Amino acid sequence: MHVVIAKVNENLYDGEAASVTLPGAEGEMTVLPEHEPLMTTLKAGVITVRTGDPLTGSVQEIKFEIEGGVLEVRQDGATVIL
Amino acid sequence: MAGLKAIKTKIRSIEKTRKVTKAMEAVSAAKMRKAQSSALSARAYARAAVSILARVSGSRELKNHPLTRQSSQRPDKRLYIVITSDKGLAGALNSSVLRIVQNEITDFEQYSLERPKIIAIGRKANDFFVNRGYEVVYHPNVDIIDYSLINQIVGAAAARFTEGAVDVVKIAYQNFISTFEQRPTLRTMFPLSVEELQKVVDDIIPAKGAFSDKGLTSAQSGGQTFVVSYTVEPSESEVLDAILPRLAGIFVYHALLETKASEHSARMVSMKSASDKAQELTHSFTLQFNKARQAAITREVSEIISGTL
Repeated sequence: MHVVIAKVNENLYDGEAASVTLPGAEGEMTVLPEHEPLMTTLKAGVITVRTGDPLTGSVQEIKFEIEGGVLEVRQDGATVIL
Repeated sequence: MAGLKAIKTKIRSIEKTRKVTKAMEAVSAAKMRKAQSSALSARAYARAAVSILARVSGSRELKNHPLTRQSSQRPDKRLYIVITSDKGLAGALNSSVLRIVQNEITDFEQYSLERPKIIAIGRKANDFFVNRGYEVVYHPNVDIIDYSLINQIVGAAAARFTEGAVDVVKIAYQNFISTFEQRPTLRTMFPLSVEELQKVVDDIIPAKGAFSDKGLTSAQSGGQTFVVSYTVEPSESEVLDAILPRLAGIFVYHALLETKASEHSARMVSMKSASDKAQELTHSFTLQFNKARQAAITREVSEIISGTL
């Protein structure tokens, strides 16, 4: 799925990802491909983007510290604005 | 001979001025490109924010939110965020922005006693409104455009709007269209509306030049209009509380960047014409110098000849 994590003055991440773990308003959550459409606020914490193929085990993790934001999940991906 | 010397000094000083304007032209060209490319780097954010807002735009919560609330009576209390540069030497850049604000204020003062308040960004705007006795409520330093600066500006405007100290917040800036064309622009920031925001996002991509790719963006935003039902957590109003100040941040951020890009391109153009003018002057003074020199030689020769006769 396509993941965009953007600040108003820079793009932190823009690309494909296998999963994203975020500090949602109702607790930590992980978004996988085909997640139902969702809109939520984010609390301060760490976003972890995992790229690569989980089946073969070649997974890279990229972490971003955030102070809050909004997450939107669509059928084709997820967007975080900080 | 004194005439010759004076002309020579003049030529030399014009040459020196030309070197300075030439250097300023080159510096502005480089800064302009940087400002333009940073404007584009934030496009993903703006597009995402607009698509989220478009999805919640029909909801009752949005209409009743403190930041989108339309004033019921005539909007008497106004706040203008005016963005100019700190330095001059950029043609009509600052004066045209100040003029559209001044015109609107003048129209408005014919039927209202409320003096508008000003948030002045850039020294030229501050000087202008302070000299005319307006209340400048906030004058931030904008050497570096970063996240916290944007939040401070949005915060200063949003706080006054939500507590009812002002009914409408407008933002005036110089919109970058191309290197040779900038347009002073006045937009309503609060009450926040999807239409105004969409216009700002459309303006991000310049119409012409190296960074224009309008076809791409309209195709992409057109593809996102399908309607899906969303799960909203924890509640729609909390999502709006989080997202509306961020959308207002887009206004401020782009206004700042557009003004920066416009400032540098306007300065580049005016420095270029100054350099050209200097070259022209050097040329005409050189001609004058040569004529004077030739006249002196001719006079000397004729004096010598008349002496021998």
